[in-house]
Amino acid sequence: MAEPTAAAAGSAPGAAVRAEDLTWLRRGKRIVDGVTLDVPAGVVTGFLGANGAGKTTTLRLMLGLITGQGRTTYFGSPLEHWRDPARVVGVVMGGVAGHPRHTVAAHLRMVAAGAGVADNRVEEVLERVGLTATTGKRLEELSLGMAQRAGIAQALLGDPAALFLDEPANGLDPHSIRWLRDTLRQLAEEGKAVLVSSHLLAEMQHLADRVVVLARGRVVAQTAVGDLARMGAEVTVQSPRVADLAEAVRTLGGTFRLLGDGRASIRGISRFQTGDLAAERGIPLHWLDEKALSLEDYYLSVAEEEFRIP
Amino acid sequence: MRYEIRHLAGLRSTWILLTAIGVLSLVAGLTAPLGAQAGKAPSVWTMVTAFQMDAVSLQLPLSALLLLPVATGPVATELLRGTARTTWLTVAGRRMSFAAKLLVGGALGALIALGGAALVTVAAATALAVTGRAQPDWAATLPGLLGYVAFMTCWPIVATAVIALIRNRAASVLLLVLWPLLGERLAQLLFGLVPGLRGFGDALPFAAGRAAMAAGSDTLPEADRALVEGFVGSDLTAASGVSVFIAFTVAMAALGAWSYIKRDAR
Repeated sequence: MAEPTAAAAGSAPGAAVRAEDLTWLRRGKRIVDGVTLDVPAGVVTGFLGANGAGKTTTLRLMLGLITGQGRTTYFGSPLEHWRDPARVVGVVMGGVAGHPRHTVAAHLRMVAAGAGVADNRVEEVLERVGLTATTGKRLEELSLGMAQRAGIAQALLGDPAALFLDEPANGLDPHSIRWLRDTLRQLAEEGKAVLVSSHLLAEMQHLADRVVVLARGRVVAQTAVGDLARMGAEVTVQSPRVADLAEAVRTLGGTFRLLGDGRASIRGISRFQTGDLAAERGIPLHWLDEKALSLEDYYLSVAEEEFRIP
Repeated sequence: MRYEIRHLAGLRSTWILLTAIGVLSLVAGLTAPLGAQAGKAPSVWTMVTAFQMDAVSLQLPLSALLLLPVATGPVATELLRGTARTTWLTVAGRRMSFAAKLLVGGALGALIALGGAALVTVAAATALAVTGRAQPDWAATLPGLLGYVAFMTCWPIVATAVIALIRNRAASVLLLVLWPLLGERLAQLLFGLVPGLRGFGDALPFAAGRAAMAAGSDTLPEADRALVEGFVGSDLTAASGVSVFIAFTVAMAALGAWSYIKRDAR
């Protein structure tokens, strides 16, 4: 088959990276169980799961670092069909994986040589991640945050069309987390397919455009973060006649639950619909509030369902 | 190739090794005339052992021992530091990665052998000229030099293959040092005890490698030649020794590649 080109990679429509039916067993136990997921270009895809859910193993399977069942294609072709994989996907898995005695500059120049990119690209990526002052430091001397930045610099060397990051916010200080979030958002806006695995749900709510939830090695849900607000917002009302709202809410397909003290929780209809219903029926409202479904609520609900499977 | 070259070039230990070999080569060259009788040229054998930096040349060249940490380094780093993912996701896969390690290791071994020999030659020729002694028959040293270069080219390849198979640097280094020095000697003794198998002892890989490097020993006096042949431990000719050692290297490289390619990355 013809060698795919990086240019084609950048312009490929739809899913940039597609993993199909990935399975990996260890001592007969399914650590990754039929995982199928898409990583579209131009968005940040969050890969959520508890510790031990199989996120890192799935990423390694996708990258061919471990062998299992299933298939992953990058812009239509398996990674091993690409002559320069560093131009297709950049990977950050726990800082920078290099010889501890190499300096940052020496390590990146080595990777640049392997990726077939010019040495001046090293300066560009170091500038981008803010590490120009530490080029002479050995990798073993880098702090966690610096190592993470060096890892991102390495991943960006080949200007790949896809980026995979495994728990990139682990151990980072708030400034570095903000920097990471801004950088990844910017890379997605440049058209790259960004896949970020994490168990930090609050962070992912700020960062991801869509999320894939993994529980016990299986994908249990995929959704756009923007859809969460429409999926399960909770409206809280307080009224001296709150019980009179119940039937009207159910008529519109919502759910109604009394909380006591004249308060009730309503799901399935918006606060605007709830307010209109109360006005139509002359029910006075002393409180009307809507809370969107958080990523944490969503994750816990879908993961909880998975854990119920015997 | 450039990836692996830069891997080694980025390490201070590589440059320390090259400097050490350079200094030892100069010393070996400058001291080569000391053993020669006044007015006479050093023997061909003196120069051949000087190329190998003498001390343990009858078992393993000193430069080969010095090269061992560098030869095992690239695979060891991937095993211990988890850098295999960097390598495999940068160059096009595991086959390419291992092939590059073998090629760069072999090239480095050849470069060290040729560079060291050149330094020895220049230093010895200068020292002989300065002290007014005759130059040796340089052309006659070529077979010994070629055997040494062949051994040094194969040696890092064998080392890389062994660490890919064993996946432990300390154990690999111990095996690579102890097997040629002791293991093969014991194996030769055992072969000698079994009627009809004595010839196998001559063809053990490192005995063959020593035979390859011992070209020129036929110029020694009878008593010295017997001693050298005892150290070498093989009746193979230098050409046969080179062939056996190269065949051993190819087989080890294939086994090492099989082990390297099928393993997973951290």
